[in-house]
Amino acid sequence: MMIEQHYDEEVLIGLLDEQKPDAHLAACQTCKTALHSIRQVTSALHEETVWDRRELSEEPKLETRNNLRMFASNVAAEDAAAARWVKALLAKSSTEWRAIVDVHPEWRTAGFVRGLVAAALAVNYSHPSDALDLTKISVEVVQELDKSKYGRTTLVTLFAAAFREYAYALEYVGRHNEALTAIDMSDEVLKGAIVADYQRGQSLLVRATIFASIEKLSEALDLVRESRDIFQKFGDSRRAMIAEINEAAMLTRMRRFEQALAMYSSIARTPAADEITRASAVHNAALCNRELRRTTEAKSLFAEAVAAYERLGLVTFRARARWNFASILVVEGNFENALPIFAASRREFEELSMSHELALVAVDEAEALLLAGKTSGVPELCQSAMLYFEHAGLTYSQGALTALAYLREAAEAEVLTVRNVGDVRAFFELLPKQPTLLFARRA
Amino acid sequence: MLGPNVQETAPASQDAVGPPQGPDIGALYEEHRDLLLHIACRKFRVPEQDAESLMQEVFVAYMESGSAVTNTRGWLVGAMCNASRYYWRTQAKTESLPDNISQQCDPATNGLAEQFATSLTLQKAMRYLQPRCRETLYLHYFEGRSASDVAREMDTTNRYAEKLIHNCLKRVREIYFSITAVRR
Repeated sequence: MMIEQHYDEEVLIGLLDEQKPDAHLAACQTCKTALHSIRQVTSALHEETVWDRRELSEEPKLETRNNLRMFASNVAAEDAAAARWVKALLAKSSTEWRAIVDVHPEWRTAGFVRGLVAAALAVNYSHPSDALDLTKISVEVVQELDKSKYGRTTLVTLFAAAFREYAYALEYVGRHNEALTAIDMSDEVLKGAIVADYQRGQSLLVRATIFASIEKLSEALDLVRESRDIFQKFGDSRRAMIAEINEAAMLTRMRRFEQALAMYSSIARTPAADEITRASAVHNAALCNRELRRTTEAKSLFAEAVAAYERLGLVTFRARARWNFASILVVEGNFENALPIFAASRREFEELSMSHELALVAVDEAEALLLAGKTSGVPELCQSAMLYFEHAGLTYSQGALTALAYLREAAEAEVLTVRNVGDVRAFFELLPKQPTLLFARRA
Repeated sequence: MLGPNVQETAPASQDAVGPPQGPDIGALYEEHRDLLLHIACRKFRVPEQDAESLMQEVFVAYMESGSAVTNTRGWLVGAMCNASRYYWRTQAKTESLPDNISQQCDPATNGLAEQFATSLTLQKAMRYLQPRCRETLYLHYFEGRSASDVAREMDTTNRYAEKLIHNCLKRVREIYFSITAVRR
């Protein structure tokens, strides 16, 4: 029988300052751990705080404890009341929401703002326009709160959160400039916070998302890394992982696919990752594989992501994942199966008021029709998308309509080419960043 | 390439504001008070009375921070550092900042809460150590004196000073572990 031999504490202390590597230590995990524990103590002994002889009271203060309990109980009572109000509000049509809030001055509470924000988050990815309405009301209500009823920390946190979520909702429906203004407001409020860093991490993440959308990729990458560091400092591994997935997304946008793929694969394997994070990592890994021309892997991962989003009820994510899946089928020449998926995605984006996605999927569908030799379907497709933009009243509706009309006319005249479609797609890619841009056909 | 270049970064969305679900806030305060007070008073030199008020704000911020704080102690430690720096920024308008405020810790690593907890326990352990032992460790580890320097200071031989350093380190570790064992 082998008896394991270990260094005793005396020997390990002797090894503390030893420069030369020790053979046993290198091989023995038990001794390594013991030495590390001694080092923790010796390293702390270098700190001034250890030698501070001042006596600090060790008894918790009854007053602080009671204040905190009272605060928690007030918050709970306010939230319970607000939950009923929010439920009543959500039972009505979104067009009535603001008017209903107006006739209920008693709803102007911090709890109601928290309730609105929570309700918006619940529908961010299934009903983005509702999320936008709810966050808009939350920023209005937060400004109408009776400031004398709440402490500074509560007010600052609520203001910052309401504006941040409003920014995110605006960003999600492609209103980038307004999103930037909202996130600026959130940051401005945070300047007066006693504990600002954590919320600053959240705000940085939203700002990074906006920056990435307007092609400020390198700034976005810096911001998202900064936010990850903040979450790590606060021991919030879940949000740090969210920042990481966003970092990988920036890398993908910068066409650093292998680097991004490695990050996504690692996140997808992390047991601590929640289901949404894992599904998003799988989806984005599929995107990287697609760009790296590994279509088999990409298809399988997209299918996995679609199933996960379906299970999680994330409608907008599922719609985009299906669109991606269809795009791979087009690359493989499988138009028969791709076209119905494009059409379904387009209808979903229309229902979800996701105009940018709607425009792009329409162009992709047009290209697939063209490649499949079914150009006759293009005019009808364009007409349907144009109908949407005519009623959407977006800043960039005019540009979108012109581009779609060009596509329709070219198809009708049977002169539509892949190059024309590419021009229109490039135009739509630019529209969110330059909403007043007009479409100019190639000479 | 066809298809959206949209990647799903959706989890960037935040969690609802509002109190995290979990233990009673009074119990949390009692559990973490020592550590947070240690950070504010000893690390950042915030006066004890002000530190108690700051701590209350930290707990309020914790309750307002959303339901998904995954590591309560890490969060509170980061927030206490943040609040202590805020304290000195606002105090700087009326009085001078501590000389070493720029060297005061930034919660730069994941293990920060652990580091503070170690230093708090050691600070307590020092109270149970013989004065001669405390002096030895202070000279060697805090002032960075060599064993021969310690020997001169303590009026003893080099060999004995080395032994003293080793024994005192072992002793302080014993006390350290007895404190942490009681705490567990």
